[in-house]
Amino acid sequence: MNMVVIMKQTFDTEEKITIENGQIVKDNVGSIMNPYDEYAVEEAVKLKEEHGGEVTVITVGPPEAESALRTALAMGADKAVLIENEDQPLDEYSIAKVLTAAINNREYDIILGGNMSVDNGASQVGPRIAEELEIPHVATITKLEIDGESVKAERDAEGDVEIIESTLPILVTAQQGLNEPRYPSLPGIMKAKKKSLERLAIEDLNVTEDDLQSKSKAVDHYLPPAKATGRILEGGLPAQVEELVHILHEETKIV
Amino acid sequence: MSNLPQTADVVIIGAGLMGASTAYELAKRNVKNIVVLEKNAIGSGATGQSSGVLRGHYSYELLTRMAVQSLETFQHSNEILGSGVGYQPVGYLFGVDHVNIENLKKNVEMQKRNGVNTGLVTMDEVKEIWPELDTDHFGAFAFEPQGGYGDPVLTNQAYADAARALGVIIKQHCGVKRIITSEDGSAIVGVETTNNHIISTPRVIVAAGIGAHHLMKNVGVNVPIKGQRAQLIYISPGGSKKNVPSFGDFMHDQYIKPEVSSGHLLLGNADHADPQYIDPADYDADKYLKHATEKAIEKAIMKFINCFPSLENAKLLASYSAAYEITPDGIPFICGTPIEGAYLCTGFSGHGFKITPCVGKLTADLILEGESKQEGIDLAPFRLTRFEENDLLKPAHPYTTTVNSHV
Ligand SMILES: Cc1cc2nc3c(=O)[nH]c(=O)nc-3n(C[C@H](O)[C@H](O)[C@H](O)COP(=O)(O)OP(=O)(O)OC[C@H]3O[C@@H](n4cnc5c(N)ncnc54)[C@H](O)[C@@H]3O)c2cc1C
Repeated sequence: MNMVVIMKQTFDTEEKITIENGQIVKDNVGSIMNPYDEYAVEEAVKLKEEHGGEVTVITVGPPEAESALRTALAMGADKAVLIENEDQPLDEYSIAKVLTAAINNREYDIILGGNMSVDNGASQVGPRIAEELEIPHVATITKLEIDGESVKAERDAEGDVEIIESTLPILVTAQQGLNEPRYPSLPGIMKAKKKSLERLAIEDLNVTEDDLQSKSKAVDHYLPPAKATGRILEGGLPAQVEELVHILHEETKIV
Repeated sequence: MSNLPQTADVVIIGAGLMGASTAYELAKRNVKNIVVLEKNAIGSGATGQSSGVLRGHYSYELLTRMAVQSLETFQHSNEILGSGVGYQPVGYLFGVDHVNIENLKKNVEMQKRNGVNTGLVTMDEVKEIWPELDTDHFGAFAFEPQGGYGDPVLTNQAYADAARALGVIIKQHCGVKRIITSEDGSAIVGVETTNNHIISTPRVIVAAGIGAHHLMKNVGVNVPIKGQRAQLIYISPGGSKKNVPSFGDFMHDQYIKPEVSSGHLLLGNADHADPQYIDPADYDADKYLKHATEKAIEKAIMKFINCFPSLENAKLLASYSAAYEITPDGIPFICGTPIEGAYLCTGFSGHGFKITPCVGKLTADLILEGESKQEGIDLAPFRLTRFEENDLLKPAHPYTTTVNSHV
């Protein structure tokens, strides 16, 4: 069975993010593999361990995105493809077109991706690729079983669990809870540095000018408002309730 | 800042390990009206990033004495400070290459002379201490059973709590914008906080880590201190023996600190041959890399694999980058300045934790007595003017592996 994982390098959201002139300042901020993609890589490696086959990880991004691919290789992926793009502004529509072109000529039984990237949070690229390839897809999965050609997935549907049956080939996107991504071993990290990595330019792929035209535009970036400090109400219970009601009516005007 | 006084007998800038221990020692000696101003939180600077390794091993006799004197506080912190500081006597193993065997012997003799419980250990003994360690590369080892590590943040908090109990005011999230001097610049008259509150005081102790550079520059004193990037990784060692010691690997210039609770290991670089500095202004503005580079991670992994080739299941858990408060010779400033009433207690260059208890006492001595009252510990090597006087502290038997003033 052959697995393709679509993945992305994002900035580390645990670090302090600053915005200047409507753009995120990337200096001094670390880059990591999108955390949801870690679940996808882990699941692909587990499928390989169970069913055999090969795991190929693919990303569209700047040359530095190589390090996220190398992390996937250290986790157990076999091949990595870096579609280099530094200047072309791409959105989910155009990235899906590019990735589809890259996947189209490869053998795959299942395509896995993260349910969203923590930087843009669009959740679109995976389902768009499935549509382009005309294969079924299941998003935000928390469990996956493959038996022959049949696929059974559980998905997180706003807190409920949906159980979906389908067939290969299929595309799934991973939700937290699908698995516990492994930490790469130290020898694995060193070996991954030597594994071959295929570098492509967008021009190498079968995409049209039109495919690369973004359909959406980010007009602004801003940080969420700073959290106000909390307040601890004092006194007996009746006094606290009275004060809380007062705050809700008069200060926050929520009720 | 209504709850800040208008006047103080002493203002200490910075509530890291050094500011807190100095405040405590001064209060213990009956100094009243001590105010500590901290721009962030207690332990938020180098202290909060510290690995916390404890050892008596130095090639500098003076620093060994300071570490020996300090050990008692780590061992008996409950009695002395009133709370625990996470002291873990897992032992400290120190290994060198063949070229440095003689230096190690001489230094261990010096350390023993000064009261360190230490001694050379044979390769067979090392195999018992840490079976997975490949001793073949090494020339010789020393071992201190009472070394190990402590928790720098708990230590900082313990000093802060003990100081508060003696009446010291510690104000967090209250930075010092500037030190105020008399019109002719010759003496301290006060400090102004970032909220424009002025405290009049005849004495200021600058224990602001890297921040000391900027504060003193504004009053015309050059304190050569800057940030130096330190990159660290956390690993899970896989099948290693539990209960391993802290390990100074001076074959590869790397140190390892075990975490007793999880069995994880922290690997820190001790190679100062190619330092990456952070300008104090960038440090103050929080503009520096907080993550380890791939190159640094790779280097740390290679060194570890070299030492522990059998630990094939070791896993990389996390990595981060911090900043040492480094001086040109790696030796701190505990001294007065050309400005009357302005004192420095800063620049501990990545090895201040283990000597903290002694530093608090020395700084209190400096301010109250004008000289050290700690036996065998002279303050002269810590003076600001040592560079222009070309009179630097030198170890009798330095290790050749790197330009390494940490050891
Ligand atoms: C990565 C790392 C590993 C280390 N490992 C070890 C080890 O294993 N063993 C060991 O012995 N030592 C170690 N050290 C060294 C030791 O931790 C430090 O030397 C020690 O913590 C320094 O304490 P400090 O109080 O001088 O500095 P800091 O902890 O930096 O405190 C200075 C304080 O001053 C405050 N400040 C700065 N400017 C202002 C201002 N204008 N107004 C108000 N407040 C201000 C800062 O916010 C900060 O809290 C390590 C250090 C690092 C960085």
